[in-house]
Amino acid sequence: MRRRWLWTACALVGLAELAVASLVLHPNVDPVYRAYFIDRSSDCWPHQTPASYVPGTTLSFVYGRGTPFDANKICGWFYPNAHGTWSYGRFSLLRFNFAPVDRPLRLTLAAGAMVSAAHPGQRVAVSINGTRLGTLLFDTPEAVVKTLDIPAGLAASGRLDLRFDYPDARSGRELGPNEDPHLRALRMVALTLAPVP
Amino acid sequence: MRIWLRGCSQILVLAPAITEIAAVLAELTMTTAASAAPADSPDIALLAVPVLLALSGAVLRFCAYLSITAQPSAQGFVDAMCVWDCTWYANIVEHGYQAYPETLNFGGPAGIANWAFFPAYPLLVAAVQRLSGAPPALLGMLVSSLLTLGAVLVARPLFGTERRAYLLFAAFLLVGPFSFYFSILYSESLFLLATVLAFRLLQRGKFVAAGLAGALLSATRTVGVLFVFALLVAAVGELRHRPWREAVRRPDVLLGLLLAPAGLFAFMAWLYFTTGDALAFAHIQRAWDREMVNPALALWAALASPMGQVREAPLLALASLAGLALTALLAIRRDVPAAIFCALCLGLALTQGVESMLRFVAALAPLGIMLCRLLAARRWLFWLSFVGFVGLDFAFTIGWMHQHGALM
Repeated sequence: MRRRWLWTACALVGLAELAVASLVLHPNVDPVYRAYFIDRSSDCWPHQTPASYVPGTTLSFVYGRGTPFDANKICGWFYPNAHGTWSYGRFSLLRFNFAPVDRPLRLTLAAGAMVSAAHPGQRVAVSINGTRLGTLLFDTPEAVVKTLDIPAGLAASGRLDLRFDYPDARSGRELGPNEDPHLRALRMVALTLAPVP
Repeated sequence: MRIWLRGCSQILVLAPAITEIAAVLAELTMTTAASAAPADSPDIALLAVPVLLALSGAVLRFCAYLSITAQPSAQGFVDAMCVWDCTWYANIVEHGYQAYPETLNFGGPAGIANWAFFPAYPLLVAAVQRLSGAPPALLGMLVSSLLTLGAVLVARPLFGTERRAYLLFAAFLLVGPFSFYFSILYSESLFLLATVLAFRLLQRGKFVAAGLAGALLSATRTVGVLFVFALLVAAVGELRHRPWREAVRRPDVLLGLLLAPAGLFAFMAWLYFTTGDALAFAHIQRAWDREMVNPALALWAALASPMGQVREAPLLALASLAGLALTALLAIRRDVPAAIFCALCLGLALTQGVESMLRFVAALAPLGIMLCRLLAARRWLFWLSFVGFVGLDFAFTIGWMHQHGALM
């Protein structure tokens, strides 16, 4: 009699566990969660941010120094350290909300790149609000300054979604400096959006 | 009505197993079995010594705190001991599990959530907190200390007549180098108790009860579910020399095997209904930038590149190798279920690299038992180890409060 009950218990526990296991196949999550955590098709986990910005302010990407960029960060950035903040994944996003300006803005970047003898350059395609501004080339690990002008029409909106795409992003493991498996391209040190004089 | 009756029948089926577990725990209050202790040793000592060691350990760790603090206080001690994952457990105890990853910027690339921390231990502390209202970090220290003391007492029969090894094991857990792990708001203490309980029941051939202890293990930490393989090996060992017809007449073995992962499945079901993702506990590892790696390569990289990303990587790699060596000894001494369990736990942990390996190795009870058996083989080595344990407890507790990377 006891054995019969034990078999029944086996069947019930087994069925319950099968039912739970079947839930693994049918996650009920939003697309952003699915892309970032399940499929890993995206490296962008969008952070909520006030994104407030005063044109002319230089944002620091170096830990503990200057005006931090945190308030403008959306996604695609690693942890800030004493040398700057590495990009994370194939693209990075920043957002800027500011009082509209009636002049073009100049984007000034100070950044170094993940390069090696085999991969001597990192191209960075810069877009604003979905419009491609241009492509910058970084070919040294040391920080260098590059600029791009943003047309007045875009600057007048008072809200800029700045996107950097990294077609040459490589992992530290692949390029040799360390065992880090994450895709990196740019080590950002500072960024400024200022009206063109 | 039928469902209700079926539920009652389940309780009746599991009642003997629950009774087995209760019997093991009840033994703690009684004298140990005659076969377990030498006739000339008073059994009360085997109960009193662990209690004294537990109290001594608490005093020693407080002294370690006093040695580094200008203005000591009881609250300061609790705060100093509550570092790293302790704050996560405190968060779960007070607020439960999150429904969605954090979308506020916390410094890194991902959203973060507390799903990586399994529920059994924080649930236990939360239950005590509802009754007492005390802060989680303080309750964690009390609950963990009691759980560890319970683990030490439950482990007694696993040592047979090796009384000296048992006392060293008690010292190792209660006043030893890693005793701080077992006396703070961390799940290590419950994992330890559940492991000892599970292997003791397995040793007795109580498969259903061992399965229930396994369910507790699998609800306590990710690697706890691996006890199912220890159960499987023990079951094969039990049944292999018997006719197959007899083997299929052992539903208790199958039920034990099915119960062992039930803690994990329960957590998965809860996560699904809360977050929509039954594997959220694994997926959220991305928030800590954890990537699956080859365990052998992770060990080699840690040994070969001391300036790598993980702090104190060579030391953590050596701890891992020590754990693997003790696992091999378990296998050589034919404790195959324990060896399988430890090997799989270490292997799975190493797929995330060597980070925290010192803690993972220290919390694997079969390895601690094996280590203490080796160190208690000679009287002089026993005393040397005992003194070393006490000294390292003091030093490592200070290291813990200073958040030394290797102890993470």
